[in-house]
Amino acid sequence: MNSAHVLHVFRKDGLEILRDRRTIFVNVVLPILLYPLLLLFFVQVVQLTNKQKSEAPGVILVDVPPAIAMSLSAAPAGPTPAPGAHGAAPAGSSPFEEGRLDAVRLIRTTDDPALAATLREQAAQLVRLHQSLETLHHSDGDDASAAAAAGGEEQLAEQWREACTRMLAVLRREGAIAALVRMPDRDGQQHYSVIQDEASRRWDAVDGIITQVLDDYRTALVVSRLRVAHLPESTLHPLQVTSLPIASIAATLRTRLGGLLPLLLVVLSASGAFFPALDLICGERERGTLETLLSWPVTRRDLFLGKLLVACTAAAISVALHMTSLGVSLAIAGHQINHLGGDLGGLYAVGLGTLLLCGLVMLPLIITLAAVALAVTGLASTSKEAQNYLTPFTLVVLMAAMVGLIPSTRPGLVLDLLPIVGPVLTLKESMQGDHLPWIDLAVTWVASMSLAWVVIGWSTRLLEDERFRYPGLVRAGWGRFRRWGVGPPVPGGLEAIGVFAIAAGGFTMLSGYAAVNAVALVCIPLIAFAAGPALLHCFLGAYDPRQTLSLQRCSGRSAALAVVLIPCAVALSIVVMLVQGYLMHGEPPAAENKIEEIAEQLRALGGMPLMVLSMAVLPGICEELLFRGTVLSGLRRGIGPIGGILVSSFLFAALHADPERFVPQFFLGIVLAVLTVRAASIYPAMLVHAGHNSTVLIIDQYGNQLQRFAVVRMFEATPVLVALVPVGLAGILLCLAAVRPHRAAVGVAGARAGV
Amino acid sequence: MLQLVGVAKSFFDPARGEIRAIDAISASVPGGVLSLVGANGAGKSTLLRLIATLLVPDRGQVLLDGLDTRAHGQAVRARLGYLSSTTRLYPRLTGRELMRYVGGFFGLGGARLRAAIDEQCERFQLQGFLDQRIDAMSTGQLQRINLARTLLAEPSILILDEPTTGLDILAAWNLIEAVRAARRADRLIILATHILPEVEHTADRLWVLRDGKLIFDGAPQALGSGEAFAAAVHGLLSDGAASAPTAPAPPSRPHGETA
Repeated sequence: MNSAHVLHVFRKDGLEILRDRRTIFVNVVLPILLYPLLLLFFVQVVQLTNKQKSEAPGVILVDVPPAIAMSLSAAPAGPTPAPGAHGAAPAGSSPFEEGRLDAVRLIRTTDDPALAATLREQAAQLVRLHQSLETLHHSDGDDASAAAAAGGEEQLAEQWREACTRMLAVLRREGAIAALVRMPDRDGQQHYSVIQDEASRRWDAVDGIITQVLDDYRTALVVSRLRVAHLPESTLHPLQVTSLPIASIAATLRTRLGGLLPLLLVVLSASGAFFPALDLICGERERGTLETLLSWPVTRRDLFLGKLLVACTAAAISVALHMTSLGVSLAIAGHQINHLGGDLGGLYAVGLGTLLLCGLVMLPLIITLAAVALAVTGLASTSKEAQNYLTPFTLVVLMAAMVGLIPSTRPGLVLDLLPIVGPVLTLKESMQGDHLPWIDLAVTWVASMSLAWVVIGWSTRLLEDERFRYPGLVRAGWGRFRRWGVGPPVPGGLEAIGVFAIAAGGFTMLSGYAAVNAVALVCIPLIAFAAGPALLHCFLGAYDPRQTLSLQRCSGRSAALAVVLIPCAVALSIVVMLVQGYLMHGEPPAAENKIEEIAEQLRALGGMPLMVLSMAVLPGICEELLFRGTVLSGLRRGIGPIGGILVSSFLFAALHADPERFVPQFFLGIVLAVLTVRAASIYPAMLVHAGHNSTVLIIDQYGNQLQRFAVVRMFEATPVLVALVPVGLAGILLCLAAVRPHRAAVGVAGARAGV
Repeated sequence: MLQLVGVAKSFFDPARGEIRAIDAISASVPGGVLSLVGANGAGKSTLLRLIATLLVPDRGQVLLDGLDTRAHGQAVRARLGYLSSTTRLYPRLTGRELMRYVGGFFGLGGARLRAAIDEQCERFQLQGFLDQRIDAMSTGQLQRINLARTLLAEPSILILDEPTTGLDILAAWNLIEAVRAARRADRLIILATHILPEVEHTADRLWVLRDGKLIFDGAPQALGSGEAFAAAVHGLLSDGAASAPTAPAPPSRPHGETA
C-alpha cells in the first residue's frame, strides 16, 4: 500500500466533497439544523396548544354530593396522579392542593328540575337495559329464556341504542360530554352512573378527572367510616412504599439508551457513509472520469482505500454531528418542557467514556458499511441505479441493528461474530451491564475488522475487473452454456457463496425429516448437499477441477505432515471448546445429545467401522470438496487468499449450525484451508478432517471407560499442561509452514504466494 | 516501443453474437506517431484500452517497452498518458488542482511539479484559466487542460483516442499542432482518428483496422497523398484493398463508437 497515494486520493476527493453543496448539506448542515429546528417546532406546538383558550368540557351533575362537585371544580388539567394517593382528604374538602378551575365545566341541575328529571329517568333506563344485556350475555339457558321472554336480545339492543341516542342528544344540547348521576342506593352502597360521550376528543382527560375524584371520594368515605369504628386511617393503607432511586443520572441514561443508541448509531453511520459513497466511484463513472483515473499509475487498492477514507470520515463526522445536535437539542428542549426532566447536565452525564466506547465499537462497522456501499454503488452505471442497490442494503442493515431493541438480547461468542448484530449487542451490553464485556468487545471488534478487511479486499478486486469499469460489456454466458470465448478456471466469490447457500438450504431442509436410519441421516445430506453441489457446479461451470476443487496430487511430505497435524487439530478443538465453555458458561459444554444418539445408532448398526466411515471419512471427503474446494477457491479469487480462508472457515462453522461447536469448527476450518492452499491439494485436508473426526469419535466412545475428559481435567489442573497449548499451536504452525505442493501441481506459484 | 503478440479481445452482442473486437493482431512499432484508422466498431478504442491496461486481452500479449500490460499494469501506466474523446475532468477542481492531482500519482511533487505545471501552462497557454474551476471552462479550454494533464509527466507513450471530437476547427487544429509538437524520439504517440488529413500530416506510421483485424501496417505515404490517400484508406475500409481511386472520401465526422 502506498500511503502517499491513499492520502492523495483522500485529499482530492475530500476537497471535491467539501465543494459539493448537496453532500455538505446532507452530512453537515442538516444534522446541525434538523434536530434544533424539529424540537423547536415541537416545543412551540406544545406551548401554543397549552396557551389556547378552549371551553372546558362540561359535566352535568345530578343529585351529586357537594364534596364531589367541589373536587371536580378544583380538578387540575393534564394527567391525573396515580389513584390511591396517600393522605386522601376527608369528605367536603378538595383533595387537590392547586388546580385549574376550568379543567371541567360543571353543569348543576339544581336550578333545572326538568333536566334533572330527564337525566334521572334516562339514566335509570340505561342502567336497566345495561343490566339486562349483561345478564343475557352471562346467563345460562334458563336465564336466556327469561330474557327472551322480556323482549328478546335484539329488542333489548334496539332499546339500548335508542336510549343512548336520546341521552347523547341531551348531553350535546347542554354542551356536556359526561353526566354524573346519583342513582338510588343499593344494599347500603351509594350508586353513581357515569354517562359518557367517549367519542368526544376530550373524553380521556375528563374520564381521568372523574375517576380520580370518585376514588378520592370513596377513600374519604372509608376513612370517615373507620373513624366511626375507632380504627386508625392506617387500616386502609397497611403498606407504605418509598422508592429511593440511588443510581447516577449517567448510569440511568446509559441503561435507558442502551437499546436505542446502538440502532441510532448504525442507522446514522449507514446514512452518513452511503451518500458520499454514491459520488465517489459511481459518480466518477457517471461523470466520465473513472476511465482516466484508472489509467493513472495508482493501484486499485490505494484508490479504493483513499475513497474509503473519505466515506468513513464523512460518516464519522455525520454521526458525531447528529449525536451532538440531537443530544444538545433534547437537553435544551427537555429543559424548556419541564416535565420531560431533561437538562444539559444529563447529557454530559452520559460520559466521555461511553462516547469513546461507541466510537471504538462503531469504527469497524463504519469501515465495513462504507466499503460495501462503495462497492455496491460502484457496480451501478448511474447514481439512480446505485440508490436502487442501496435501498435493500439499508433495510438489511436496519433489520440487523434492530435486534438491540429486543429487551432480552445479549451478546454471545457466536453472535459477536455476526456483522452489525455483534457490535450492536456488545454496545448495548456495555451500556446496560454492570461491567464492560471485554471478551465480547474484543471478539466483535476483531470480527468486524476482519469483515471490513474482507470487504475491502473484495471491493479492490472489483476495481480490477474490466466488467466493473465497463458495466455495459455483455457477458459471454456461463460454464458449459457459454456461447463464446473461454471461461475462467475457477469460479468467482459470489458463485461460491451461491453453492454454499444451496448446501446450507439442503441441510436445513433435510434436518426436519426423520430419516429411515442413522446412516441415511448422516450420508444423504453429505453426498447430496455437500459433495453433490460442489462436483455438479464444477462440471456445469466447466471449471478446472484441479484448481477449483484442488483435486491434484499432493507431495509425500504434505501427507506425512497431515498425519502429524491430526492430533494437533484435535487438541486445538478441545482447547478452543474448553476456553469457549469457560467464557460462556464457566464450565465445559454439555455433550451433544443428538450427535451421541446418532453415533450410538451407527455403532449398533455396524460397529465402530461404520461409525468412523459415516461420521469421519465421509464428512472428510464431502465437506472438504465443498469448503476447501469450491468455496475456498471461489472466495480466494473473489476476496483474496486470507479473506477466502477466513470466510470459508466461517461458512464451514456456520453450516454445522451448532453454537457450541462454532468456534472450534472455525479454527479447524482455518487449519484445513491453510493446509489446502499450502499443499495446492485437497487430499491432506481430507486426511486431517477424517482423522480429526475419527479421533474425537474414539475418544468419545472409549474415553469414558478410562476417564471421561481425563485430558481436560489434567489440562485444567496442571499448569505444565497449560504450557503445552502454545507448544501445540506452534506445532500446527510449523507443520503448515513446512507443507509444500507436489511438483506437478497446477498453480503452485500462485498457491504459495497466496499465504 | 509497443508490441502486440497475437492479441485478441471479444465482446458479445445479444443480437449479433460474438464480436471479435480485436482478432489476433501481431505488430510492433518503436516510436513516433502511430495513427489508428478504422470505421466505427473496427476495434480502435478497444485496442487503445488494451494498451492502457483498462481492458485485459482474452489471448495474446500487449508489451510496452517490454513490459506485459497484464502482469505489470502499474509500471505500464506510469509510462503512458491516456486521453479519449469520452474523457471528462473533475468539475469541482480547478485546472491547477487537477494538475497537482495527476502529478501526485506520477511521483511529481514540490518544485518539480510546479515546473511541470508551468511548462504545460506555457505550452498550451493555460495562464488565463488555470485557476478557474473546470465546470466553468469552455470545450476548447477543457481539451487544452486535458492534453496538458496528459503530457504533465512527459509519458513515453501517449494514447489519444479521437481527441478532436467535439472541437471546432481551430481548436482541433491547435490540438493536432500540439500533438506534433509533443513528438519526441523516445516517445510513441498513438492517435486514433477518423480525420484523414490529421493522419496524413501527423503520422509516421499508419494502422488500418477492419472488423478487429489489422489490414494495413505501414507509412501513410505508401498510400499516396491528398485525394489518393483518402481514396486508398476508403478502399481499405470498404473491401480490404488499397486500390479504390474513384471512391469518395470517407466521412470526417463519425458519431460515437462502440467497444
